[in-house]
Amino acid sequence: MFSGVTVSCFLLSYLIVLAMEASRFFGKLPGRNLLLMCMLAAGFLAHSLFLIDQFTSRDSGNTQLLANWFQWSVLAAWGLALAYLVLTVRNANGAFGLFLVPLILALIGLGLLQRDSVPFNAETTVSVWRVIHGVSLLVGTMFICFGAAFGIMYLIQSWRLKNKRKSRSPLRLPTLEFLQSMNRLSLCATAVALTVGFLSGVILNASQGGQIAWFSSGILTTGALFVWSLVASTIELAARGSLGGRRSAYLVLANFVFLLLVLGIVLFSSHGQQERVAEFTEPLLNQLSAQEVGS
Amino acid sequence: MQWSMVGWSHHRTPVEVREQLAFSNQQIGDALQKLTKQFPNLEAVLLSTCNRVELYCAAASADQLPTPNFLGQFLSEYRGVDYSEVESQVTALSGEDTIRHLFTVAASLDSMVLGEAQILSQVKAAYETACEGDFASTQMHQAFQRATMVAKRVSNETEIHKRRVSIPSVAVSEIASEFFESFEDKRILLIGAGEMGTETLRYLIDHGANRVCVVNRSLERAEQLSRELGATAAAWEELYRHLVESDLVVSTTGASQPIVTLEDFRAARAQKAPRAVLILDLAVPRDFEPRVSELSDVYLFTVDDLQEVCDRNIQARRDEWPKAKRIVEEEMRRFLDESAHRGSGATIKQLREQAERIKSEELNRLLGKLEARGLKQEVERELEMSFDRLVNKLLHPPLKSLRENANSSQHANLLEALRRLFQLRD
Repeated sequence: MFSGVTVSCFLLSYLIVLAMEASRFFGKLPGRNLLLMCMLAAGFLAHSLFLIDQFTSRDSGNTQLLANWFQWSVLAAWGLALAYLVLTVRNANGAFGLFLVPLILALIGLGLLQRDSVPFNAETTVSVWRVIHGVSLLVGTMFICFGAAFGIMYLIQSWRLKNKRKSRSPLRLPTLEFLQSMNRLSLCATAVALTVGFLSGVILNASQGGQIAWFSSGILTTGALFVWSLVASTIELAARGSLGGRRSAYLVLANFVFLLLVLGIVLFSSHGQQERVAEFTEPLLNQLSAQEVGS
Repeated sequence: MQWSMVGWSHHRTPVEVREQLAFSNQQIGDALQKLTKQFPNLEAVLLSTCNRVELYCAAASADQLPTPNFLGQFLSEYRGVDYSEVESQVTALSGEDTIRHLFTVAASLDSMVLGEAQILSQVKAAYETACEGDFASTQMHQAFQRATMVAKRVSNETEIHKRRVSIPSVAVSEIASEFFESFEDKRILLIGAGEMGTETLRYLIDHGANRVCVVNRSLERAEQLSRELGATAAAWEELYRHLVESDLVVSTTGASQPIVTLEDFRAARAQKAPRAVLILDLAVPRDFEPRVSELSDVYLFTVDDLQEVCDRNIQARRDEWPKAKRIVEEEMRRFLDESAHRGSGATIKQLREQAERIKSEELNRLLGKLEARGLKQEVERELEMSFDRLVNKLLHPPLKSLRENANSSQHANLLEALRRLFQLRD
C-alpha cells in the first residue's frame, strides 16, 4: 500500500532531528522547535506508513506481526519515536531527542543488520502465545531503552546541579523529579512486560510439546534479564520518597546493559528462528537425493 | 500639547532624602488638588514610590504649564523639605523627554532593579489616583494608557522580566524548580527564622508548598512563624529527624558555626532509605558544612551560588536593555505623532467651521439680494458650489502644509501660526 516509503525516509528525518537537537548546544535559534517538531512528525509518519506496509503487503512475504528481527527492531524504534513525539509536544524545549534519537537510530540500524536474517519459526508465528511473547518482549525492550535515555538524563542533570553548571548551559533538561518518575515507570513497565513475555514463552513451549531447549543461551539470558528486572523494580518500589536519588538511574542503566547482553546472545543464537542447521543440511540432502535418482 | 516632569529618583537622590520627599496616597490627592487650583487647565499625575517621586504635568499651551522650578519647589515644600537642599538633585524634563521618561519608568527600564515588575502597578496606581481626583484628563489618559501598553510590549518582546534577580526568587524559580515538578507533596524544612528564609518560604508557599516544618532554637518563635505561614513547628532537638525526611531544606539561622556537620548528617542519613535532598543554605556564616555536598544525592546551594545566578540574570536583563529601549523610542514617536494629529485635528475642524460660517453668511447675504431680482434655483445651486470650491481652494495649501509636516518638529509651530493667522480661539 505504501511501498514507496523506505527506511531511508524516516532514517533521514531522525538524523536531521538529531542534528537539530544537537544545535541546542550553540544557544537559541528562532523557529527551531517548530521545525524540529515538523521534521519529527514527518519522520514518525513515514515510519508508521512503512510499518503498515510491512504488516499488510503480501509482496514482503511476511503478513504476520513481527515475522523477523528486522520488523521487531523497526517496531521497537517506532515505539520510542512515539514516546519522543509525545514528550516533545508536551515540552518542546526539553532536549529529549539527544538521548532518545540515538537509541531509535540504533534499533533501526540493528534491524537493517538483521534484514536478511532467518525469519521467526513459521510454525509458531500463527500462535497467539507467540504474538504475546514477541510483543511483550518488544514492549520490555522499548521500556528498557526509554529508561536508559532517562537514566542518562538524570545522571547528567544531577551532575549539572551538583556542580552548579545548570544556568550556564543552553541545554534544557526536565526536573530530577520528572526524570526519576520516568525511570520508575521504565523499571516497573519492563518488569511487567518481561513477566508476560516469560510466562507466554513457557506456555508457547508447552503448547508445542516442549520443543525449545530451556538451557539454550538465548532463554537463559532472557530469563536472567527477567529475574533482574523483577529485582530492580522491587528495589525501586521498596524505596519511597519523592526524590529517590540516583539509584533509579543506575537500575535502568543496568537494565539496558543486561538488554544489550541478551540481544547480543539471542541474535547469535537460533532462539525463535527456524533451525539454522536446516539451511546447510537441506541442500546437501537434496543433492544426495538427486545423485541417487541419477544413479 | 505641552509636557513636563519634575522629580527625584534613586539615580541622583539618596534614600534618606527620598524618604523625606515621599508622598502617601492621601498626600498625593491633596497636593494635586492644591496644584490644579492654581493652574486650572493643568493635568497632573504624581508618582511616589520608594525609589522615586515624580510629578507629570500636561497642558494645552506653555503658558498654562508651571515652570520646573515652581513644581520642584511646590513638591519639596509640601513635604516640608527645604528646596535649596534638594534642588541640585532634581530632574526636570519637558516635551518628548517627559513621555520617553514615563514610558521608560513604566517599562521598568529606569528601576533600581532593572525589569522589576512592581513599578508598572505603581504607575497605574498613581494614574488611578489622579483620575479619581479628576486631575487627569484626555492627555494623561492617553499617555498613561500608552505607558502601560509599552510596558507590556517590553515584557512580551524582550526577556527583561523573565529572569529572577532576588535570592529568594532565584532559589525557588531557578534552583528548586530544576528538582521538583511541583512543591505540593514535598516535605520542606525551614531552619531558623531569618528574613531571607522566611521570604523564600513565602515564594514556595505561593508555588504550592503545603508540607512545611519550621525548626528554630526558640520553639516559641518557630510556632509563631508557622502560624503565620500555615506550617508546623518542631523543637530544635528534632532537627536531624526532619532533615533526613525532607526533600527541600531552607536554612537561615544566625549561628556563627555550622549547625549541620558532614559526620552527623551522614550518620542521620544512614538510618533512612537514600533520598535526594536540596539544601538552600542562605545563612552567612553558613549553616551547613561545605563538605555536606560530598554526600551522594545531596545538592547544597549557598548564598554565593544563588548570588552568582542573580548576577548572571541581572547581566542578561541588561543585555536586553537596548531592545527594550528601541520599543520605548518607537512607541514614543508613535504617541507624539498621534498626539500631534489629534491636536491638528481640532484646529483643522475649527478652521473649517470658521470658513463655513463666513461662507454661509456671505452666501446668504448675496442670495437675499439676488432673490429680489428673481433668482433661478439652478443659479443658486451654482453659486453655492462656487463658494464651496473657493473655500476649499483657499484652505487647501495651509492644510496640506500641516499634513506634510505632521511628523516634523515644525508641526507645533505651524499649528500655532495657523491659529494666530486665522485667529482661532478655544
